[in-house]
Amino acid sequence: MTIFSPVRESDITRAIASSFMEMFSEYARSDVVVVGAGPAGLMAARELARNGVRVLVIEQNNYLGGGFWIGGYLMNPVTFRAPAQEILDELGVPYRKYVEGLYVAHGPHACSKLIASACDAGVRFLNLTKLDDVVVRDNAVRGVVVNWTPVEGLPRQITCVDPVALEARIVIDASGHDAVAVKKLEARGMVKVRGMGAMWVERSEDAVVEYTGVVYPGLIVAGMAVVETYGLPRMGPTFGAMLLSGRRAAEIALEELKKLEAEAV
Amino acid sequence: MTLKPYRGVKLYIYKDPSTRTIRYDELAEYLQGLIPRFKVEVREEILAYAQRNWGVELRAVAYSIASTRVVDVLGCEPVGEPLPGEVAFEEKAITNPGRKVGGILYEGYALQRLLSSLIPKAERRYGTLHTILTHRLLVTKELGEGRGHARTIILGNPVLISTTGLVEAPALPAEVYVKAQLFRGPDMQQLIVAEERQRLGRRVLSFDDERFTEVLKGYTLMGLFYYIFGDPFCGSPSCRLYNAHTHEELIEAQIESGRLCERHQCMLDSLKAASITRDS
Repeated sequence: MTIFSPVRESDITRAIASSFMEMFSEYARSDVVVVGAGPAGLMAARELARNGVRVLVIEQNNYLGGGFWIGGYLMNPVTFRAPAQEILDELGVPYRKYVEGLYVAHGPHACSKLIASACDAGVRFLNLTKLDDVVVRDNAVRGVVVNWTPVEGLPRQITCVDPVALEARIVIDASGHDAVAVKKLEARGMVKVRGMGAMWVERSEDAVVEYTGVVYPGLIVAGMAVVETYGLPRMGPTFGAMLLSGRRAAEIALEELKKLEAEAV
Repeated sequence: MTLKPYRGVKLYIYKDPSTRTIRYDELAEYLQGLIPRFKVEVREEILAYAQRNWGVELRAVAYSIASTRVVDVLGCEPVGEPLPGEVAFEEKAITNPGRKVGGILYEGYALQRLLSSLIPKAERRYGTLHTILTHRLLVTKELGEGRGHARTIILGNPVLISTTGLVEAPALPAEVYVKAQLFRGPDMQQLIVAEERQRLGRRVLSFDDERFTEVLKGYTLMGLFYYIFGDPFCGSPSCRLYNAHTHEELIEAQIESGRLCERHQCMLDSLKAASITRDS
């Protein structure tokens, strides 16, 4: 007795290819492209999608979640300073109070819930996709140029595979310390990057949220990419700032989208 | 010996609205009570005051403050030309002076020069001392050491007293750093330091500590002593003018003792006598 329905191998292949192509074609032009599926990128994408924005997240790794699976030193409890636990409440992530103002949750639980919540909100993902460049039009970032991560990982003389461009009205760089989109602009002399500052005090989380914003027309920086862009002190393995920075990036993106719509009218 | 008549000091104190536990009336009354000829006036936050009364423009001052940021605490050089995001950050900070944002460092002397330049000539007369309380964390390079250090106070005119510096700059007990050093990664070290701060409780000064007023009496006096006598500090650990390098020392000088040593009290008394001589 068989458990599963009999299907042809070719149908499985077509199901994968056609589903991917349908999504890929639809999201060749999005409202917002988020670079990086770590906690800041996922949070930004989730918030935007919940506001009816068409969001595509590109992630260079196969897995989503970035460093959110691990709390620090290869240990998977993740910590949050108040008021970030309110986001855990929203996501339905169980946590406990460790000391006043500090909360701890299991990384796998928090990360998987955030990914699921982003998916539920309608966010679409391209994993194993690496940013090759940004699209700049009329002095504003208006999309990304991408290639498969495995292709990017090989020497050019072997692969020689051109990337493709994905258009967007806004790009959010949530690529962590790499700050890949910002650095593409820096390479052209269009923005300056301070580089990560020295470790100083335990209170740099506020600054990450406060500095989240537009670095160039059409390009918003969020999460640890903010630290890299503005030379903020490096911070401890607490994730509150990533979530709140992601949320702030989404709020700013919504404002920017409104401005663009007003300009178009 | 005949004392020269003492003309007194007009002292302006600018509030830091981000620290809500400072009792300005008590601070002013304390300073006023030291010498009859001290006139103390408490003003609102310096940048708010400057915009309202001295015609300082928000965008320009935000740009200038952003240019005093220090990114590399080792080099301790101001960034110079700021990024647009840094200017926007300062605009928000100036517009909301009640919000304290940690983790950003400013070169103390550069910020002092900038704030000095905002004060109009009429208020920079001899006998006028401006003492600015700020939540901005100030760093200056330690001579001969080749790296920056966080500061509680930048002496001169204006005097800058960093309320964040009072919490962050003095060292914690040595055992905290020994414990933190057990972890190689700075991330874990930060967590250890944060946890130890909580454990230490009242042995260290914390943000919005109700002892801030008492501590500020001493730090404001340091500014005054520097202005009047050219020497702000005292070597006695129980004198209010002791230049504390640790929280333990700071609390001993400002809270447990809370007084000037005999020599410095004598110096104040001589001023008082000179004031009375002039009055009579």
